[in-house]
Amino acid sequence: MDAKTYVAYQDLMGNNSSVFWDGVTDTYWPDYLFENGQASRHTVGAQASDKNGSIYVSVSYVDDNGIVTGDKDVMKRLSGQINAEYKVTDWLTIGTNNSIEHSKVRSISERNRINASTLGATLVFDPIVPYTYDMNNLPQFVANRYNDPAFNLPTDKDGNIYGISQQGDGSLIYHPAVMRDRSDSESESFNLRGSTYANFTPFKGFVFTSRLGYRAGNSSSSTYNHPYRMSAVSVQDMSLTGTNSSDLFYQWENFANYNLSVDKSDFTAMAGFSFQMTTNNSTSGTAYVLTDTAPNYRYLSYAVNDARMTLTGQPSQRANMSYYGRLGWSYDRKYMIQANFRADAYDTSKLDPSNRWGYFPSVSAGWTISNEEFMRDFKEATSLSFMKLRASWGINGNVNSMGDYQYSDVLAANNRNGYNFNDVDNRTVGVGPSGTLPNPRIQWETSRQVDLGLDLRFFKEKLALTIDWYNKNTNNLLTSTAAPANTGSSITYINAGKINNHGTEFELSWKDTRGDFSYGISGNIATLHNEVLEGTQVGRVPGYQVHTAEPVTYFEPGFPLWYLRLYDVIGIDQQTGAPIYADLDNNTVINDNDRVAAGSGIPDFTYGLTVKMACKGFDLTVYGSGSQGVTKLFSMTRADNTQLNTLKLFYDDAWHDASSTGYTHPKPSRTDSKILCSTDRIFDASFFKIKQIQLGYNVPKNFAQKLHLDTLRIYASLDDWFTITKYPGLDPESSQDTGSGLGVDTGSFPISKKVVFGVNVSLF
Amino acid sequence: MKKILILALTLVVASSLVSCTDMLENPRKGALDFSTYYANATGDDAERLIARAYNLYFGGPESSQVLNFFEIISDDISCGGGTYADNANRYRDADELTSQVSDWVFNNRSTLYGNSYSCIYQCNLIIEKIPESSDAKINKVKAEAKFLRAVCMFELMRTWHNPPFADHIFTSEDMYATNGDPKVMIDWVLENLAEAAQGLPSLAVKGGQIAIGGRATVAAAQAFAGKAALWYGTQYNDNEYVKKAIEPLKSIISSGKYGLIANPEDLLRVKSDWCEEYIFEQNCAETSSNKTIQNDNRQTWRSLRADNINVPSSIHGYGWGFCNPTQEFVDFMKEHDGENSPRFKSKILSYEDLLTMDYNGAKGMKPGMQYPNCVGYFNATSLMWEEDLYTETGNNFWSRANNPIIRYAEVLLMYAEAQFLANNDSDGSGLKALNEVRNRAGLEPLNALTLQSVQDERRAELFGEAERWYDIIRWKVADDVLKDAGKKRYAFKGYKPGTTEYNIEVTDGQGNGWNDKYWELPFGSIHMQANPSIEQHQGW
Repeated sequence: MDAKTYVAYQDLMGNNSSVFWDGVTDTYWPDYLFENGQASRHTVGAQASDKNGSIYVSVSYVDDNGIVTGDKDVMKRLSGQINAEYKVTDWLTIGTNNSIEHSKVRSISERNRINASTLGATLVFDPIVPYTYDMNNLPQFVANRYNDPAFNLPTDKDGNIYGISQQGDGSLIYHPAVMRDRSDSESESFNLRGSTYANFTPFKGFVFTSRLGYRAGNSSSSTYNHPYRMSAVSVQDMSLTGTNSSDLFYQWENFANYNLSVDKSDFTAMAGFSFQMTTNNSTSGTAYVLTDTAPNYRYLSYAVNDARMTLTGQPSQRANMSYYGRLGWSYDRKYMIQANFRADAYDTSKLDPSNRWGYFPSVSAGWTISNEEFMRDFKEATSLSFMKLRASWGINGNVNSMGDYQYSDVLAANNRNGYNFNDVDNRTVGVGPSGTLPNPRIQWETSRQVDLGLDLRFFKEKLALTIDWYNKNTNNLLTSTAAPANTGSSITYINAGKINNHGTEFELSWKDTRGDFSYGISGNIATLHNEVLEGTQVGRVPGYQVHTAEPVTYFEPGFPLWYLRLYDVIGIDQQTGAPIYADLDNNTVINDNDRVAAGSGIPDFTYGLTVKMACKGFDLTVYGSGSQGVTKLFSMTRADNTQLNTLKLFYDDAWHDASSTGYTHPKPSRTDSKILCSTDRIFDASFFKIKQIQLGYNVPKNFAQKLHLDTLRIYASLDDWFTITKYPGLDPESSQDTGSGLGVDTGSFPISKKVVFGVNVSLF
Repeated sequence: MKKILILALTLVVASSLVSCTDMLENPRKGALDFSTYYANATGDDAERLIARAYNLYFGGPESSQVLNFFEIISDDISCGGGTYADNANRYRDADELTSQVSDWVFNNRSTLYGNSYSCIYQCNLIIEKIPESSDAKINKVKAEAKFLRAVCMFELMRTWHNPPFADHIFTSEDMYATNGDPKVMIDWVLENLAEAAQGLPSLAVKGGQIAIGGRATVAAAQAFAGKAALWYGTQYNDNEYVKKAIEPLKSIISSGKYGLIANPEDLLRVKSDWCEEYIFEQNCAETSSNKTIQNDNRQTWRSLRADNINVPSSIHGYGWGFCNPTQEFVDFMKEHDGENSPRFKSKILSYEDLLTMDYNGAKGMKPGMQYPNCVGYFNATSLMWEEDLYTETGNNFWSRANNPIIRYAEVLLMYAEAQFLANNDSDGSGLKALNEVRNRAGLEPLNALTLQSVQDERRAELFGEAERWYDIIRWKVADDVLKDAGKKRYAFKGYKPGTTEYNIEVTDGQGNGWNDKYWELPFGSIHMQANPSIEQHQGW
């Protein structure tokens, strides 16, 4: 909303914003906070090979200055790649793939809460507050604070005080520039990752591979929080946090493959095992007093000891191991069957040793019908060139959703849980159970999936159609659930619940060449049906809460995962403009019993379309994707801060007075928090996006060679440029919370539009 | 041959490294061993265990958000907050009696239920798992454990009446406990408090609490024994239990080690820490090792809200404005105490009282703003007095004022009530106790006790200490005093232009007045889901 609409909206609500408005100020915050970002990427590579081996080396540099004004979001990364393989003898090949990367990142908070990020503040901060004040003409209340030593008002780099919201003084929504500038956060990391392997081929058809994968890295970060005190609430003390963390991961896999062909049969067998270990060691310190706060003193070396200083650090490790095997048989290029089996175990941080192993079999089979003799006539009659039926069934396991050591209970010693018995400064550390009711029976969560597929190709492979249907049941969900409180424990981990996902995926493509002109069109569509079949507890489990202390998503059998369940606005009172909620149980009180299922953040189907054309060195790619049947709750609000700015439609399309007509939203209210959890705030977030339009030109070889180049390609593309949607929020694609917040838009960063120019050159 | 050798060697090395499941042993860091800690506990170890038990108690039944709830649901205090749309913790629904079972997932009510049982569990572990000992520290800790588990069980009982009885350590075998029998449980509570009193210290001299610190004493156990017996006797109309309340309360009075401080305005302030009136208090002084964790932010919840009103310079401007006195309570206090009594000022401040304080700038309501659930009178019991605060970082301001759990004034009033109900105060000692409280409040003594006079005195004296809800339930007057609950909302907007008349906006609330199901508060949906053996109360 602009200032005029905002003031009218607030006045209608009863917040009397006109009192605070000079009638002129109309700050459009995005103009101050965002600019066009710039990113560049340069890659140089070289490759060589002979009959015994090959080597590839490349270096790449990325410099990205993001869309926030100033140099607060910058990423610089230098990376290198070395890949090599060499055949030592006819029975031994060794190889390695490695990448080395060094990056520096300066960032701002991108958390998706309106009071936690620059973006959030930009969207909701009052437009009637100026960006900065004229220092020679400060409003009285600002002058009072400026002259009061208790306050420390943040300013821009020229010393002008940032605007202060009088209406929002008691809230935690900060001036967006303060939100941006209040912390300086920088991190630097160095990483090496890669794998080195040896393949033994002692006899024909048999390959034994021993492969060591690794990742080693070190990262350090530093955050400096600037001190300020704008109001009693908007206060931040100086602090400096430095963190250093080193990680080491390795995985050793040993497996053997054996292939054997007998007559028309091809047999394959594979068996192996692997072991993975991840270790991390990090140290972090926070200081609240520095010998000086000048920029070149913002290091922990200059910390002054005080009681608030904190120091943390602890090594951690994770290990898991697996055994796996596969047997396959195919006959006459018509029939194929394959059986897989794996057994996985996690270390004692996840599972009790008695239940650590999970066993996961799967089988798949295929029938290439088009290779059957009896199909010959049919193929000719229908121009069918290929037809294959596929089917598979398998079980997968997962323990990653579980926290560490959740199957057991231990005593925790913690200063926070202690008590200072008397005025003597000597807090007694508290020792007590960690709050988990032990459940040593906890085991792997499993998913059973069935797939059926059909591949068809016609007209010499020009037309291709693929259809896949799948049905997946996830059983024994690993969930933390409330322990019966009378036990004194708060949570326990259980295997409970069942979720079904099924869907059908179609992909249809056509490609052809006419002279110089070649083109291809492909489209895909995937339906998704998600349903909770069994709950993890008795009844309806509430999930995400918006800032009214009311849950808006629920986990319940018969509904999609974390579906929206909201109060139902069935009308608007013509006289008062108040929303009329459905009172389903007719008890005259609107409560949880009056909520209705109001959609879900999981789409009914997603689809994509790609068109490619090429003619005489020019090529054009247009690619789009969409999502249909998504419902989102617009929730960039706080019930206790009604002075926040919001979508214009909540004024324009709202009831204004008893003679209003054609409105779709009730009178804005400072008393009604249920409206924020009602069907009034849901929107269809279906969308179709042109993700990329790329036009390229390959310079003709003879012309390139005149420039002493082998090939030269230039291209330009518009990425994420066009969106077709009815969703009034920022970006229907990105604005979604995770986990139980599925379908709740609390204001996450949109995917930015990009214009990309590129040149690819190869020299030899 | 060479190739076979290399292959074989690789396989041997690989399998020796990988096939050994010892590699999957990953002992937990920062955890003490359950099986040995209790068995080998020293006196200091026991103190660390009881420190956690106190921490759970103060963070559970005595935590600010729990107390806010029981204030707001009563007839004397209304929700407040930033706006009417601010339904933090579903307080507004409690205020208007539109609460529902699912509201009990919010942390205030969940904390009361969960932390009380956690505290009992902690105490049960201490009592059952630490072997018999002659160590004085260990035996004192065991007495404190009996005290705390009895107090927590009592808090659970007076809220839910028949919650599961946690007299032992539950395991995964018997974790689905059913509703407890109140008669059995109250006897257990009283027995534990009596046993606790055997092992707890008592004050060396009047006002000697500071030597013991914020820990339980004999008098604390006696005060809770009186409180629990009186509650049960009145809740269940069983005069035998009312009689049981007299003895322990009388012991405290006759010990001569407690008294009332002179100025009621000093209550709940730093200047009253360890005073002779506090029988049991939470120590809230900061500690250098971790300052802010000693206390919770009770003053922040209830102090003046700066978005709506200018805040005097002696009070910190970061309150959230919850828990404002209702018109009914203001009218009652004007009638009962009179606006100029010291006790009136210690409980509520009028708009004029606020305006006469010192300010650094503008005073009064901010233009255009309104104070929800306010009738121009403000809660004076938990303001963020600048001189009582300490800060650690940013927005966190905490009061170092100790938090009294039970005061001598309450002991006197419970004694008067028990005397009146049990024997019509045959020896006049109940009247004497009541008049001691009236005297400090600046009121004339009464000549005789009546039920009404006892109840009114309690209402006035214990305002803002979360007793009112339990009182109106056990006195069976809740249906009357809350008959209009939630029907109207009152917002204060300062003076009407050009006058000193309060400008109060009255709008319709969401409530429909009293509902009989509120006689027994419900078990929260989250707790019902976690324990299907619990039977829900009527109407919920």
